[in-house]
Formats: sequence, structure tokens, C-alpha cells
Amino acid sequence: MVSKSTAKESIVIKDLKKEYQGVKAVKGVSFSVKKGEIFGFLGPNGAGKTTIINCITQLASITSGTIIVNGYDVITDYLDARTQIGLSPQDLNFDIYFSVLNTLIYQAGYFGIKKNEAKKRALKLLKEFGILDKKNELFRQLSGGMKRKLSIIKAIIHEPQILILDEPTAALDVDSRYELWEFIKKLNKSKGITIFLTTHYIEEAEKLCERICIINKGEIIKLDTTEKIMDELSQNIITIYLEKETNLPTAIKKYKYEYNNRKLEIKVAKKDQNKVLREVLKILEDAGAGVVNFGLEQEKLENIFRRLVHSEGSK
Amino acid sequence: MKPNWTGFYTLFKREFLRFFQVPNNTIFPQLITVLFYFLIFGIAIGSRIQEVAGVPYFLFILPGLFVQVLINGSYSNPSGSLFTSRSWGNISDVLTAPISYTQFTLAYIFAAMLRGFFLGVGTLLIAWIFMPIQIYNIFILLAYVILISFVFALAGVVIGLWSKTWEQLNIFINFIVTPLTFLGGVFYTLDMVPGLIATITRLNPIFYMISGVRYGMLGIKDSNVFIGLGILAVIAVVMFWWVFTLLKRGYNLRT
Repeated sequence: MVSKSTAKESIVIKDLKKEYQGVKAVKGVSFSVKKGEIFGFLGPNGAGKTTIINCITQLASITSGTIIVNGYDVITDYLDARTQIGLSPQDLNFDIYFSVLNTLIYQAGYFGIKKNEAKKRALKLLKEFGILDKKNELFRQLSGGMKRKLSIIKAIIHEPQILILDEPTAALDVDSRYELWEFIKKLNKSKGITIFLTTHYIEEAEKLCERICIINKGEIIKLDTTEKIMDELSQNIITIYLEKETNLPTAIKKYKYEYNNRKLEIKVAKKDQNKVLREVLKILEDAGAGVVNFGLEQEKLENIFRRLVHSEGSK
Repeated sequence: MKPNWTGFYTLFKREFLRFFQVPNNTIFPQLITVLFYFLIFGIAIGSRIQEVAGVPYFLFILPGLFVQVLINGSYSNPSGSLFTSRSWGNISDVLTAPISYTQFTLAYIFAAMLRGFFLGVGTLLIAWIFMPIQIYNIFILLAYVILISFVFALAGVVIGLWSKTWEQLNIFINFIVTPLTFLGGVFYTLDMVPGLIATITRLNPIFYMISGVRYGMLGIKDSNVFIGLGILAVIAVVMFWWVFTLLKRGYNLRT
């Protein structure tokens, strides 16, 4: 599929507002997704993630604002904009009367791909996803994981430039989840496809995404590279085991610490962790407190996400 | 972007072929019902009735039954399809595809008309088992068949978009179309019924549709067929504009 060569960003959203029956679901959101990146879109249930996806794909009308996809306005250039996107929605929705293969052939057909080519692509993708033997089965005969795979195949059969995955690993077992992560990375690296991903598995976003946008109650509360978010916001824990029970030197008290049964725990921002570790070890050494062992525990993105969302929620 | 005719054809094909997938719901019940009408009213009772308007009673009722099947087929295809794909959510496949609003509208309408024709031809073939059928004016007949199926396909789209339950989906056909068809002169001429029923029949738009088809098949005139065609054409244009606007607006399709 062809995209406007001048567009440097895959998706540009400006001041997007969406209201349903008087409820402000999206309150003037602006952000952009760079070409070729894996972009994580996180938020609690009801934050507005799926609404924004629906606005991008035009499954929802836009109250105000603009959305440009690879240089095409989703309202005025809607046909071109739609060719750029492949969508695997949160809810699995298929025509229950069609076989797996026919579902894919029809889907490709909607995007202008003739039957022979569509069949070739469908068989190739079914093989890649390990469900070729299910090609003649009906949707309802598939397991939850297979349905999810079929939904993703359906989204990429027309070879879009942008793939929107709305909670793609929901209902997948651990092996299938890892398999899918590898596939997403491969699709992104080898074909340069932009991936727009929403997930409730924060670990997934941490592992896959270059940038993360956290949204709550229809507003963006954080948007940055995964690394920066972790550096700025993670509260890592330095754990130090002392040789014997001892009174801590006063200098330690300037840190956020807990001390119990020879175990000293200090909470510290990721960016300061090395400096603080050196300082604390020095203080303890100067005070003659023998150190047996020490370690560093990285706070998970999941905790940061919860902290951000809850602090926003209490505002 | 160039018009996506493959997309249009795919949607049209899906919409037309979907009714072959459940023939026990979509094909056989209607044709079996028609067969019984022919047997009971055409053969058993009809053989005891003198000619009506100069033709055997069997041939007299054929145009009305043909119109009934045509209406049912054209209406049911888009109404059922849109309602179920909205309920299952797979309407999003089409809404996110590069198919223009005009193509989207026409794919549903043409598939519905074709289903109506298919069932209409089935009705004529069943009739042929009992008696050779006649065509008096093929042009008038085709014009009526095209416009009737077009208008009821559009009605099917409107109801398919509007309905939130199966009950609502069937209200239009059960409580409006079926009674109007029976009161539209399928089984009688205006002079065979009391004044009140004749007046109700004259106010019934389906009477003019049956009358036009009857003229095309048998040459019997109950009303001015050209005025009937004109009114039907106006209804078709107004309804097409309405349906196109609803689909473009995403009425009950987009949130």
C-alpha cells in the first residue's frame, strides 16, 4: 500500500475530542506516532483507548479535532487513510457462516486484492501463525488463541503500513503471547510497519514499545520513550545486608529507607541509583558497618503505571 | 485513490452468497409457501372459480405472489445482514475498508435485488409446473420488478440499521408489508370486494405494484401503470438519498 511520502509520522492526532451522549470520552488529546515505531497506548479500562482507536479507524465519529494517517485525513481522504491501517480489534468479531480461509479472502477483497492473490497471502499467513490446518473450519470452532491469531492475520492480509492491535494478547497462553511478541517485532523490523498497541499487560509494553502514552479519563498523563519513563519515574530499591544488627549512621537518614533485621532497603529514582548506592556504601564503610551483600531491584513499569493512574485519579 | 471495484464486488458477492449458506432459512420456506398458495388457491379453490379479469384464477394470483416473494427477498437480505453484522460486530470489517459510501450502499442494494430476482424466478418456475406463464409486456414488467426490489432493498437497509432486536427487525415485514400485500389485490380485483376494502386497497401502494406487474404479465389494467411507475421511481430516488445519508452518517454503525 502506498503512503504519502512526505509524511514523517504515521499518525498525527490534534486536539481530538469525542463526546457520547454528553459524556466527554476524549478531552482534547494531541499526539503523534512516528513511522516504524512500536507505540504503546496504555490506560485503565474506560480511559478512552478504544475510543481513540475507533476515531482513527473511523468506527467512531470525531466530535472535533483532526487525525492524519500517513498524510491522509481520516475524514476527507478516508479511502486512502483506510488502506494504510490494519485493525485487530479488542472484541473478536467474525461472520460465523464463513470458513477461516473465506473470511481472509473476503477481508483482502474489501481492500482491493483479487481472489487468487488473497488466497495465496491467506495460506502463507495461516502457515506462519501455525493454524493452516484450520483453514476450512468455521470461526466458532476455533479456540480463543486461534481466534486472536486469525484476527491479527485479518488485520495484516492487505499489508498495511500501520497495524493497530487493541489488546492482542488477551486470552493467549504464555507461549502464544511470546510467539506473538516475536511476530510483532519481526513485522516491525522486517517490513517497517508502525505498530500501535494497547495492552493491559504492562510487561508487554515494556518489552515491545519504544514509546509509551499513558491515558486516563480521556487525557494523556504521560508520553515519552519507555526508557525515559523508567528513568524518571521508577522507584528502584537498593537492598543492603549488614554483617550485624547496628544503629544506622545519621547520614543514611536523608534517604527514603527501611531498616529491619540487618536488611536496609532504600527507595531511589532510577537515574540516581548508582550515585546513591556508592554514597550509602561509603557511609556504611566509614561508620564501620560491615556489608555482607547488596542488590538492586528494578521497579516494574506496571507499578509506575498504577502510581501515575492513581495519583491522577485522586486529583 | 482509484475506485475500489474489487472491494465493491467482494462486498456484493458476500451479501448475495450469504443467503445460500442457510437455504433452510432463506430459500426453501418462501418457495414452499408459494407452492402451497398455488396448490390451495390456484388449483384446489381456483379450479372452482370462473376466470377473473379474463384469465384463469391461478394466473391472476401469480403476479401478486411473485411481488410478495420479490419484496420479501429484497427486504430480508440487507435487513438481516446489517442487523446480524451489527450484533456480531463484524460490520467493522467493511466500515474500516476502502469502500466508498456509494459502493457500500450499492453493494447491499444490488445483492438484495438479486436475491429478490432469484426467488421471483423460483416462483415463476414453480408456477410453470402447473400452467404455462405469460409475459404481456416485458419492459413494463422489468421496470416494475427493478423498482420494487430496489425500494424494498432500501427499506431493508433502513430497518437493518434501525433495529436493535430481532423483534424490531420483523415488525416491518410482519405488521406492514404482509398485510398490505394481502390487501393489495393479490387474490381479488377491486370489483370483487366491498367498498371499504376497495377504498383501502386503492390507498395501498403495494396495490399499484401488483397491478403494474399484473399488467406486465397478463395485460390486465387495474390502475395507470405509467403513473404507478413514476411514483415508484420518485420513492426510489428519495429512499436512495435517505439510505445513502444514513450510511454516510454511520447511523447506528459508528459510535
